[in-house]
Amino acid sequence: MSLLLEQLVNGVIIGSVYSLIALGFSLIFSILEVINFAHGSILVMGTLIGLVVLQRTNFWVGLLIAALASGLLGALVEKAAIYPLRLRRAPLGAQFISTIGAGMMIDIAALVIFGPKTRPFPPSLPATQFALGPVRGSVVELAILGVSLGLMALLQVLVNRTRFGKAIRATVQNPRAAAMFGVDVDTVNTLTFALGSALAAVAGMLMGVYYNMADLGTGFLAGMKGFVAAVFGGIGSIPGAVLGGLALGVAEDIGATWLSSYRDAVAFIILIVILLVRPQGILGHPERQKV
Amino acid sequence: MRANPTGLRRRTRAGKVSAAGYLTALRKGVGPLAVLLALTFPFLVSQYLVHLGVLISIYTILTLSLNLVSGYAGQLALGHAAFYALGAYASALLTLSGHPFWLGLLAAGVVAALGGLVVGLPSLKSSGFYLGMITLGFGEIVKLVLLNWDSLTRGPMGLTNIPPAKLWGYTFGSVASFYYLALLILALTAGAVHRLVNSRVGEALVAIREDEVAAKAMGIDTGYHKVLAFTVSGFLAGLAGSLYAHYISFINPASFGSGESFLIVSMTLLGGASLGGSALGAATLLLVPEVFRALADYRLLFYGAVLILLMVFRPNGLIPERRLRYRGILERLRGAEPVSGRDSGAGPGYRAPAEEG
Repeated sequence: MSLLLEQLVNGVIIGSVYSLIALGFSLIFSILEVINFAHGSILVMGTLIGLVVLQRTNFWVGLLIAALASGLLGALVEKAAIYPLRLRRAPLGAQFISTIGAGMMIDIAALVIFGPKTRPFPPSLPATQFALGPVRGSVVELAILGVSLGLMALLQVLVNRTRFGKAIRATVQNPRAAAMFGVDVDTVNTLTFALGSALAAVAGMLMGVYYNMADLGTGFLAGMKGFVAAVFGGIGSIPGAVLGGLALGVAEDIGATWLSSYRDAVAFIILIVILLVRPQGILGHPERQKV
Repeated sequence: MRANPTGLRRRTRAGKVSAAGYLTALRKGVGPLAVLLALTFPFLVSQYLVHLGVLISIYTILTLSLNLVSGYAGQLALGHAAFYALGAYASALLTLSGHPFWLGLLAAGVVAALGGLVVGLPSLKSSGFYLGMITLGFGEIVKLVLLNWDSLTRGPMGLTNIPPAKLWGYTFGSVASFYYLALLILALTAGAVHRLVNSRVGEALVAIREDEVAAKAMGIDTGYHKVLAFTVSGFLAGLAGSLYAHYISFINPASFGSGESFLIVSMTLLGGASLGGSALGAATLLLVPEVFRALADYRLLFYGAVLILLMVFRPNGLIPERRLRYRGILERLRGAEPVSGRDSGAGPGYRAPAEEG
């Protein structure tokens, strides 16, 4: 029983990180209707930049710089790989492929700048352990949970309570009408993309302190898992992304006990099953195909 | 460029042959020339270039097979390397245990076709990037299985000493002889794809790509045709995998990752849905990094940039399929502007998922 509880806690912690990645996916998807395949690559680039800063200062400054750098990179991707296609009214499939291209370019840029080797994360948070009833935890795990939950709450406030959030919601509903009411839709697109990318970098940094390392290969898997989490919960929905991430984290941790070497396959199996059984996800609305 | 329906040189008012006319004439000459060049290739150039020729042939088969699914049926498939891997492993394992090459080649096709059938089934319920992600997930699962099934695949070590291809007592040991074998399989593949896409099935696939709901309304069994496209595509990619395994004589799971899938997707998109396009796409993406040696380490940077530029300027590839050329006329006839600012995936290629209700 305590093993199951332990797995549950571990699953929730790594799941909260997946939730952050999924939130970025969902935000970008809800506003641009395109899946940002460069998400994982942006995550890795942000994490590696944050790591360099972290080595010279401390974890929190590194986290902030990682978020800022990724936000900028995300804005750049939107302007370079999506905006020109939207101008030409390219089909959504083409925009998706274009983000794949952007992801490849970022991957190589990261490889050239930071080299191919896995980088260790220096211990930057106190390694204190504590017990909470039957559950043992560490400051690192607490920080991960705190940062992710805090950001989710902040995002909820941003979307529902601020002018910018109102602009986002208007653009999601109908971009043309939003533009008529004075919303600068292009800017909203770019900023939302930047916001989603910043969330990805934060998730990358949290994964870094959790696993004590960062390398180029993690980006693809992290991006895929974030996508799976977003689809699991219902893509385009903020509570869905959070729920999907947590569910994926727990499922993965429990699945790993039976299929230890196939841990990463759990996410893909979930993806295939959920898309076949309930493509709209746990909290999504069923989609209708129109002629 | 619009097609010239009469096939005659179009003359401008001044009586000069227009650029379009030259292009049409050029295009007619390219096919036979390319065939002649392909046949005499090993006698003209160095062994290294012949080696590249083998790779181009293998990748053209892969690109043609992906075109069936993506180019003609319009289904986004990002896990094509999985079929390639299944074919390579099936053929290598069979020949390593003493079976003849022809059986390996056939088994490669059949095993990969079964894989295609499995991947095709989700296309019944899913489309657009969702299907893309499912196929990508399938590719990753295949790779994970190849990595972890040590007793069969020897895991990350891979399979070594795969015997060379041997047919009717003749061993395709040299690069030049293997080149002709690859070319033969390519020709058979191209013939099969050509027959298929110009048949009733091909028309159905194009109809599904253009408008799945309308195709269904016309009485086309869309599910059957999509799964069929995936299965045939898997079979052909499996053949390419077998060729690769017996040519290089060493395979491991790292050769069949998602990067490989994206390379095949890039080739398909670059060329467009046609035989010439497939060959052009495969050759360009393989040759350019060879020509610019300094670029070799930055191959993905180049592929990435090519993808973005293509999607901006020529989303249908360099040599699009003939049927696409009528699209311009159709769109002008329809004359309707999309309802909202975001385009509802009305363009060619991949269908977007319908808007949420």
